[in-house]
Amino acid sequence: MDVFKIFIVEDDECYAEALTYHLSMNPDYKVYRFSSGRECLDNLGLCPHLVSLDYSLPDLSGEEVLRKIKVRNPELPVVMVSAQEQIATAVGLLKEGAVDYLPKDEHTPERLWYLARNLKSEAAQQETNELLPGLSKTELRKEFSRRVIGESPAVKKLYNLMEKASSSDVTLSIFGELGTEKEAVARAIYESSPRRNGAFIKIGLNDVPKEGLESLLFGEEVQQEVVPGAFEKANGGVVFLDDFSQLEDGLQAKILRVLRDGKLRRVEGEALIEVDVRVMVGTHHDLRRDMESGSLREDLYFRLLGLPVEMPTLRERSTDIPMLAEYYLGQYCRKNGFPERLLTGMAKEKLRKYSFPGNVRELQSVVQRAAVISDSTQIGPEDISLNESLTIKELLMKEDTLKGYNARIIRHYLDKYDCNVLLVADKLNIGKSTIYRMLKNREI
Amino acid sequence: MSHYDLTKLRAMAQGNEAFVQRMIGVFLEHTPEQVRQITEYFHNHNLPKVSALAHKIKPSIDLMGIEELKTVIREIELKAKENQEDDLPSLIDRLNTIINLVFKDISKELAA
Repeated sequence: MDVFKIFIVEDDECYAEALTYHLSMNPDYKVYRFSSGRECLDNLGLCPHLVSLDYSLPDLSGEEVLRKIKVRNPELPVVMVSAQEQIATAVGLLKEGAVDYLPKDEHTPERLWYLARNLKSEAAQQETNELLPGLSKTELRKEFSRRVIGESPAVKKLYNLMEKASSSDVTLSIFGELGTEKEAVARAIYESSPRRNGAFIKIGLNDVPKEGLESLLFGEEVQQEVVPGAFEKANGGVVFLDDFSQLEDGLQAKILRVLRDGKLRRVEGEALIEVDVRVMVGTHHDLRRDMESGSLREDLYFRLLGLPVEMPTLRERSTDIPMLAEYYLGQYCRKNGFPERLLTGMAKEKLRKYSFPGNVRELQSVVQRAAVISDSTQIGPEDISLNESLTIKELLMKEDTLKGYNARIIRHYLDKYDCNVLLVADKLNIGKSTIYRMLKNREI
Repeated sequence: MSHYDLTKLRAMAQGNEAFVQRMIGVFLEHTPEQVRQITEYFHNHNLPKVSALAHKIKPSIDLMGIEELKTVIREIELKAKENQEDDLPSLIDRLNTIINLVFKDISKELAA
């Protein structure tokens, strides 16, 4: 790429001047200035690499111009620039395909400069990648199917989205109920993306004590010793923030800076460190509601949203259940040295009809338990015990004997903790032999 | 006391005084006309245009550090958008007064 062409579409002379001045300092950039949307559209034939588009233009709205640009060239990056009061409107345009928005202040030219630099380097990288043999569609599907198993329409739709996510570097937000394999999707996309040579670092935000989270993510400088955080360790790769939910304001601001400027400051550190990281978040929370309630910053919400991926629940892809059950059964038997066991047709049907509120994780647990308690190589419906009472309220609604309640509680915990007998025994403060005995006697 | 403050503009310029002067020149060249248009649109009861122009010059007013107009220009934009015509005369008067003072200050400084 010889020259990186940038369109500045701005009717405010002051800002147009400021943006042009800053960008023109780089001899690799050629800046074109337009004061109306129509002028910009008429000159798209010049093949710009980036468009900086003011939201309020005299002839067409920024939204209209953006849509028209996207119709003519969906791949062309467009940055929305708006006065601060219009951020709420402008961020909505991210969903229309804008790559970013910049509020008008004294930092706008510098931010646009960095953005142009990153896009230029991405474009150059893409040119290089196109010269290398990439993964074919079939190979990509094969890669995905190693992590996310299924043939249902919901999974095929998911693969399509994963393909798009693999070929771009956009922030990824993976939404879905617990146990829907959000991490598996994140890993599959990472492994099929140009970032696969960098690290994949997963941070379960709920697994880390609040007071240690900032250091873990951003690193720290203690007594002249530098401890890099997840974002630095993953430089060139991916950080997957799992269980993303409410974070304190300071952390939200720091994550926003990484997403917006590619920079961070270590705890107790002074220097700003540049990082090149793709962020993926997994969550079962309604982040939009968090944003609306004010607990999640609006600008962070829209940055995180990036490319949203909705994970299908297992009930939405119940045709995949038999295939998944066989897969996990085989895997569990091999891992534990059990003879090969197969599910009978009726067993598969029983599984298929169950709603699996705990999704794939619950299915794994159910299948593992069946493998443990079955004495035969054939696993029938009688070997499969399903957890149909997940809440205490539901547990108590159905009258039972004390022994029955005990069995259901233990079964619930076994599902919750992936059939880890030692952990469940510890949690319930009972002997592990009690659980093994109950399993063998098919009491649970 | 000066009616403007170039701290933000200088931060943007990163030490390039020629750029600061150029930006001041652009401001002087365009803003009087825009303020005149706001006044004219108001007299013609064209409030959407008043709001749009107020919105347009708002970032330049912020950039030039004209603190006294920071709220005024936003109120003009909002009131015009909400058709609250009665509130506008005093705000537009204030806009004209302060802008004139800013121009006097800048001219004085440039002449010095």
